[in-house]
Formats: sequence, C-alpha cells, structure tokens
Amino acid sequence: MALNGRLEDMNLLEILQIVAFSKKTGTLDVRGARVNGSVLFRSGRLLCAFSTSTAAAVRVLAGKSLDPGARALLESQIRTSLQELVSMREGRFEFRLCPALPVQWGDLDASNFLLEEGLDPQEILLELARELDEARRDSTRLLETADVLDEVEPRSHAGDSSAEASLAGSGLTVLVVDDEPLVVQIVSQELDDAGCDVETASGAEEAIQVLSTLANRASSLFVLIDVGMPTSDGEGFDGGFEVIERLRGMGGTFSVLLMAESLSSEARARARTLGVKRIAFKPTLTKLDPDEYGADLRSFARALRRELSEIAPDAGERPDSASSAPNLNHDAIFEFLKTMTDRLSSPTSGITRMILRVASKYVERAVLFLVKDGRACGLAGAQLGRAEAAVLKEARAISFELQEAHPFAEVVYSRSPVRVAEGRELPIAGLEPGRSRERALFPLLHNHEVLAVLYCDNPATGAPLPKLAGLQLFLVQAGMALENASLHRKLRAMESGYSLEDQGPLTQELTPLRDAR
Amino acid sequence: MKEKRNHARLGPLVIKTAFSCGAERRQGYLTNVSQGGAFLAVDDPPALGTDVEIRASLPWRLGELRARTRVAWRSEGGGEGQKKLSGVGLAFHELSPEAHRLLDAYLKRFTELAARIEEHEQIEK
Repeated sequence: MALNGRLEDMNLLEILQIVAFSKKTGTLDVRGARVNGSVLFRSGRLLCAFSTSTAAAVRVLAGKSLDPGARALLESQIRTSLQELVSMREGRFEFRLCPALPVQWGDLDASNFLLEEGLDPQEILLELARELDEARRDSTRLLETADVLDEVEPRSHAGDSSAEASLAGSGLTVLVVDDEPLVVQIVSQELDDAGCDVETASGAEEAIQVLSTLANRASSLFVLIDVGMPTSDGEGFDGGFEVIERLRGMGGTFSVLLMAESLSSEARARARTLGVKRIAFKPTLTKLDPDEYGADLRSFARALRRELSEIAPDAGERPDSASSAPNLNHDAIFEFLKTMTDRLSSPTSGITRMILRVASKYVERAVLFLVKDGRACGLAGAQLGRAEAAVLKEARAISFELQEAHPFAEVVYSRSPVRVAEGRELPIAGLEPGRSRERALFPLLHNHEVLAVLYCDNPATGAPLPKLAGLQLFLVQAGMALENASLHRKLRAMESGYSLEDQGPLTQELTPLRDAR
Repeated sequence: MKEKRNHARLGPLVIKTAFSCGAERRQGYLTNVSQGGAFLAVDDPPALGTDVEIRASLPWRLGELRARTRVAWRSEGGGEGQKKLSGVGLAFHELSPEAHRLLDAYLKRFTELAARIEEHEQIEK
C-alpha cells in the first residue's frame, strides 16, 4: 500500500509531514482539475518541486549546473510550487518510492538541477503554514470589511416594479447633495414619494447650511452625496469627500450613502475612513441620450429608495421590505446561485453580503460568525422581516469561546455542517429565538481551515429547514473565492517587485513543461 | 548536555497552536510532538519554567488538543538541530483523559500513514 488518496481527505501540508517523517526517497505527484505538480524527496528532504505555474521556469534549469544564481531561482520556484500545491482543495496525490535518485523526471534530465543538499522540510513546513495563516488573515479582513462599503445593487426594471419600498412613518430625513440638477430632481422625487422628508443641496456650502438647520429637528438623518463634485478650491473632482469631512466636523450623527460614477481603491479607503457604509454607482453609459439617461436615473433612484428602506437607522423592527421570504423555486434559485457564483469571481467587496443573500433564499435568518483565536464572533446577519441594521447590531454583540463538544466547535474541528437538534443549547442568546426548532451551522472553509460559521434557522415560522445543498455549495465557492483573492493580492505584490534583470539569461529560454509528465 | 527523553518524538510537523501564558494569548506552531511534550516554534519564546496552556487543532478532523504544559527548555533560534528554530520545548502535565485520547489518536494516525510508505518499500524489495 503506497501513500495515496484525495486531497479532500488529507491536505498537502499533512502529506509533506508524513513523507518528511518517513525520510524516504521518492516522488510525490499531485493532480487536480487545474493544477498539477510534483515534489521530489531524498531521505525526506525536498530536492525539487514544480507546479503548473512554475513548470516552465523549472524546465529551464534542467540539465544545467546550478550556479548560485540558478540555485536561488530554483529554490524560489520550489517554494512557489509548494505554495500553489498546498492551496489545492481537490485532487489526488500519490507518493512513490524510488530506490535511487532519478536521473529522469518526466522527460526532464534531473541529474543536475536538483538541490544537492535539499531543503530542510521543517523550515519549508513552517514557512508554508505561516503563509497560509497570512492568507487567512487577508481573507478575514476581506470578510470583515466587505460589508463596510457595500455597493447598492441596481436591479432589473422588472424587479423594480415589485419593490416599492415605503419609508412613510420612518421619520427619515434625507439630504441629497449633488451638483447635477437632474440627479437631485429625480432622486429627491423618488424619496419624497417613498415618504421621506427630503432636502437638497448642490454643493458644500449649501449642504452645510441645510444640515445646520436639520441637526435640531430631524430625528433620523441620512446624507446622500455625490463624490464627484468640484472641491471648494476648484482643483479637484472629489468634493463629496470634502463635504462629508466638513459635515462630520459639525458633529451630530448621520449616515452617509455615497453616489459615484466610479471609485478607485484609494477613494474606497477614504470613504471607509469617513465612515461611509454604502456606495451607489450612478448610470453613465446613457448620459448622452436624455431620455434613456432619465430612465436610468429613475431606476437608480428606486434602487436608492430600496437601499434606504433596508438601512434606515431607526427602521429598527420594521419589516425589511427588501428581503423576501425564502424562495425554494428550483429554477429561480439555480439562476440566482449561478449569478451569485459568477459574482464571486471578483470578490473585492460584498462577499459577506453575498453569502447572506444566498442564505436568505433558503432560510429566514442567517448569521455569519468569524472564527478567530479560538472564538466565534458575530459579523453580520440577515433576517426576514427585520432591518439589516438591527440584525447586524444583534450579531456583532455575540462573541464566545469555542468549547469542546459544542456544535460550533464541532463545525470548526470537523469542517463539516452540523444540524442542531431542538433543545440543544447554543451560546447565541443574543439572537431572538423566535419559533426556531431546527438550526444548522455551515463552515466557510479557507485553505482547509474554518474561517467562519454560518448559522441558519427559521425563527418566524418555525418551519423545518429545507435541503441546503445549494447554500453549502455556494459557501465552498465563497471560500475558494477568498483564497483566490488572497493569492491574487500576493501575485500582484510579487509582480510589482519582479525584474527581468533578476533572472538573467534564463528568461530567454522559458518554454512550457507540457510533456513533462 | 544530552537530552533525556522517555517518548519517541514525531516530526518534522507543523500544527498551528494558540497558547496562553497567564493573561497573554499568542499563536505559534508545534513542530514535533511526543506523549511527553512538544516543541512550540514561536518568536520571542516564553521564559524557562513558564506555565503554558496550548490549544491545537489536530489534523484529520481529530479535534482540538488542549494541554497544560511547562517550558522545559528554550531556543532563541539560529543554532543546530532543535536549536535552529526559535521556540520552547514544552513538557505536558495534567493531561486530561480527552487530551490523552486525542494525542494517542494523532500519534497513531501519523505513524500509520508513515508506515504505509514503509510497507510499500517492503513490497517493492
């Protein structure tokens, strides 16, 4: 019996430990859907490794004697290969013994290009583990910040008609600030129709004047502001930020929803610093056609209206008109899952929100708990019939230690979903139990570790939980999207420090290693 | 000085481990384990004799190992062999029956997997 199996059962970091411990000489082959690779060991030490993305560079070194420069390059390629292989979630592995060091490796002449002494496996294992932890921290940050600057989602016109969110009686006053009169006119009309008290301003000075009069009388104030206005010195076009800074300087509490045509990552960061939680992208493509632009702006205004109905700070226990009851129509849910999975391909923002939206299709309440330092901490939630802000507040107040023999710990250590039977206690007293009977916990996996746990139940109706396979699959995809996002950030960092000159003449000979295996 | 060991040591390995010394909570990596103790790789290692409580999530979904330990020796790193890494040699004490069970299960599983390679070698010969 050789050491072989599925990466789903044993990850590469664990396999490397076993082989290193055995102190054997042989080849570990790893094959996945998109990534393949091999690692060559002598007496448990790592002599060489390649993976799909490093094969070309490793091939260049085949048959050459290793001068210090080439050796450094090979070491770096081995490390990159291992990082790539360790991050694989699925695939097969097999370690095969070799009686002596191979002189051929695939179609490569392996006689010269192996590291003579090999790399210390302990050093490599620690390095890989630290890198995985760094990636996990990256992903945690992405999850934690994802809902800080969420994008207001434009919906189809058909979807618009069914979402006439009412804000009547919410006591909400909205100050709309934009230097584009048509935007101010259409947005303020829509919000007025929704039942808000609406004030308008076309620039910083006017906004400050209006706000000073509102500060005393508005029970609940929301500022809807365009970021792309001229600054007061006339030298910049991000005057919206300047206005927010000045308004913040006046004191008082109000929420801000930023409107923009586009927003750089620096601008997003600045928005977060200023306490902005939402951004809505204005239509731009139809600007040259007044009729179409007007229609797009009305659609945009309806999206803002829905958004305000979700996040209105005093909406407290008002039913959340934007969230709908779980919908288990198979075709509809398949289409929805497909759309959401596509959106995961660039998860620079909103991944927490995406998870909660998908969960809302299946259950009445979903709360995401981050797993960090042996604790689970509420991050965000969504609940049928309740405003997002209220659920968020409730979720964020929950934090507990993961105890042995506890359903949350069970999910973390088994990395598998757990259905929690009625009567079994959970340390989430902060969540209103309602009529929930059955509850389920799902892991969000990141590099084989549980990054977060999703709690699901039906507190409004007490209905049994449906089949949740689609949700589970989406969580797998979300975990992979987070891993990819982390890997992409790393690649970008590597690219920015990369120089062709560092690699000398080797870069002239790069050819793919298609036939190596 | 020659090390005195009563238990076979398993390594190299790497297990992410949360640990606390008094009120301080930190993270390190176990790089070898035996029935009697473990090496915890960590920068700025705790002092000799310090009581350290560890929590390590064991591979293969075995569960979380929680153990009370004491720093038996200390390495600043940069040396040879075990002194190459910065960290502390921990001696287990007051292991609960559950911790014993988990540790046994882990060591057994690890050696079984390594033995698969040995068995294969015997067949090849």
